[in-house]
Amino acid sequence: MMEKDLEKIFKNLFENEKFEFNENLSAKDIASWDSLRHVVLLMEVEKFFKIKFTLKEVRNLNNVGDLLQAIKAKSKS
Amino acid sequence: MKSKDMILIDYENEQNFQINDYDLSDGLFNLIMLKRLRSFETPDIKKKKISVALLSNYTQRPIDEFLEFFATLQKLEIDVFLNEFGTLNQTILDLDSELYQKQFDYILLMPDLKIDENLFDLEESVDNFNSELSELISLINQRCKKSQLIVSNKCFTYSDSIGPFKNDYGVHDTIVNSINSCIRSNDNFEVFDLNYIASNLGASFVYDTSFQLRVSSQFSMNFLNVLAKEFIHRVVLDYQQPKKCIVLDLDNTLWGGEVGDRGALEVDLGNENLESRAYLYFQQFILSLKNRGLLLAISSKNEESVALEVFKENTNSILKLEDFSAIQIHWEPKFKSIHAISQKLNIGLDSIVFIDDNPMEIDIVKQNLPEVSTILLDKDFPELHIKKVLDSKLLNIRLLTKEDLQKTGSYKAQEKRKKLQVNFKDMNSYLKSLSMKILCQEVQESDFERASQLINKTNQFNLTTIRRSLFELKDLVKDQKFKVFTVSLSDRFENLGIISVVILEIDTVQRWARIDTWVLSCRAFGRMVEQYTMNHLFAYCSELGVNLIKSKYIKTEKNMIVSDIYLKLGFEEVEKVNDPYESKFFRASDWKMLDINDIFE
Repeated sequence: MMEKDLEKIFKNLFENEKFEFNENLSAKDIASWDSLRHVVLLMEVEKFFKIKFTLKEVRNLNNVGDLLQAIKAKSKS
Repeated sequence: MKSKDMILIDYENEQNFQINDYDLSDGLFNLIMLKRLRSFETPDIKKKKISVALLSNYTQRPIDEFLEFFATLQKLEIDVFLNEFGTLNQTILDLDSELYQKQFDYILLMPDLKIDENLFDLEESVDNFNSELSELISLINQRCKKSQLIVSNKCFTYSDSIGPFKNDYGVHDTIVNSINSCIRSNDNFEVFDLNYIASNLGASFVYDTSFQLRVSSQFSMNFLNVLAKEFIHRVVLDYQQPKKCIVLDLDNTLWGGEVGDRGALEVDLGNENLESRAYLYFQQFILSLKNRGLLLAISSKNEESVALEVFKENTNSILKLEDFSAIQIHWEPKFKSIHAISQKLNIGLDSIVFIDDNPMEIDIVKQNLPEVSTILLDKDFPELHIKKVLDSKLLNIRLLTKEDLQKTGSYKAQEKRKKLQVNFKDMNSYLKSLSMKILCQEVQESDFERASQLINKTNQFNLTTIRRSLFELKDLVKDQKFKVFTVSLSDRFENLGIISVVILEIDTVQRWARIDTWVLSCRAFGRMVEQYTMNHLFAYCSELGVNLIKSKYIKTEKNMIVSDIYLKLGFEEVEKVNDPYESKFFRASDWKMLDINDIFE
């Protein structure tokens, strides 16, 4: 479920881009995923899952796997 | 209004997507919607094209996307230029910058509105700020003759720790007020009143420290979104007919209930209950629009004699019959009424705003008279009538400024502009007009602190980015092998003080010198301080019998601007070194003094 929601967020945010949604998907696979879009992506995730990333996490969440792990960890607590 | 979160997940299934159904104050939402809008491109509609340069020292992205979003909604095609982070002054000073290559229709300057907060000297600080700004403005104005210059002012800040109970303006209010009245007093540009927008929205909307920190922005993303929206509404005023006439429905628009059922004295209007008060306020608001110069007209489906009784008999009606310039009360379709009103008042359909609470009436008018702007009111919420009208922005106007007069070719303004051209034909004459005084000398003891501060804070014009503490600097000065120079600058506006530091290592036996450190404050970029300083070093070395100067550029994330500075100053690059820092090495011998065109006094 969480994966599905995240995938939808990706599809919304990177519409018109071709990519395969899996754990290894990272910024180098999507042309418009630049540093600004990274922040926007995390804001969107924060809003949707009602969690808040720390500044350190913002820097270190580099691919979908990292992101899923962080969401899981945060949603539990 | 539909839930945005729901849409975010489910829009794939949405077939009939109507952007106007949504509240557009959410930046994240709009970023996604922009992509959808792009895919809905309708190439057959000929769009008006505009170009905007937005100049600022902060990250303003994704405001470019927000601008595109709101422009697209207004059927405009927009081209946005944003300068690189932290390069406001350089962009304006650099003759080759994209800003001048393209002539943009609009230049939105969002200057750094920080001043020295030394309270004893607030006036002087504001003066300094003003002269710096005027300098930038005059450069833009002389080089971008076809652009409309719009300058934003200062928002209230978040950091006033005193709280709301105080007898006088707080420090921050005073600073904001001084800066803003200083900006307001300038007549070379139009003011974009950010403080007004920010005050309407509140600090918790305007600022978002997470976002600001993450992308080096000045504001929250949602505020950037609103700025884009407001800016596009402003741009639209240049292409649309200003609205001259408001055509109003009667029942559930100017009063509550149907006059035909209730009678003129029984409609909701006045002070009896909450509904009647809401309509009273709306009438007051409409009257204020009339007083502003807008024509009022009525288009209503009613028995004329019955409907008009409200204006004649009901003393609660603030609006009187004579306030209306045209009256169409009958059972004919409203687009016919509006057409008749436009003919009677001799105004174009595109200068009419039609206001009604009935979505069907609005729709029929839209279908038959697409030029007419419409505002749909919600009869269940008369307390929101005023807000609906204001939010439509249809009645926004631009106040005529001297800048406008300039654009429309007023004789006086042209005269003034010619004068500017004579004064600043090129960069040199501009620099000369600044009456700059410059001094390069060995560092004085009283300047140690400032010199160390410059060495440690300068990121852009910093060739080697070697940081040195105050103590290290003091040790260095004692060392015979090193010479530390400072450069100070002043012009007719202000004294900039020490703006550059050079540390030179000298070997008088082997007759070489090496530039260990060279920093220059960004406030002094583009003023030929580099050339002047290098001449000073050349002369100094010649005097000592030194005939070789070695230098080095160590690349950092922020100092790209000086990667080729030594080549420009007559050095040659010696060897390509593939070290991880991408350093470049240079040398100069048999130097010639650089031409500085006597720009310093």
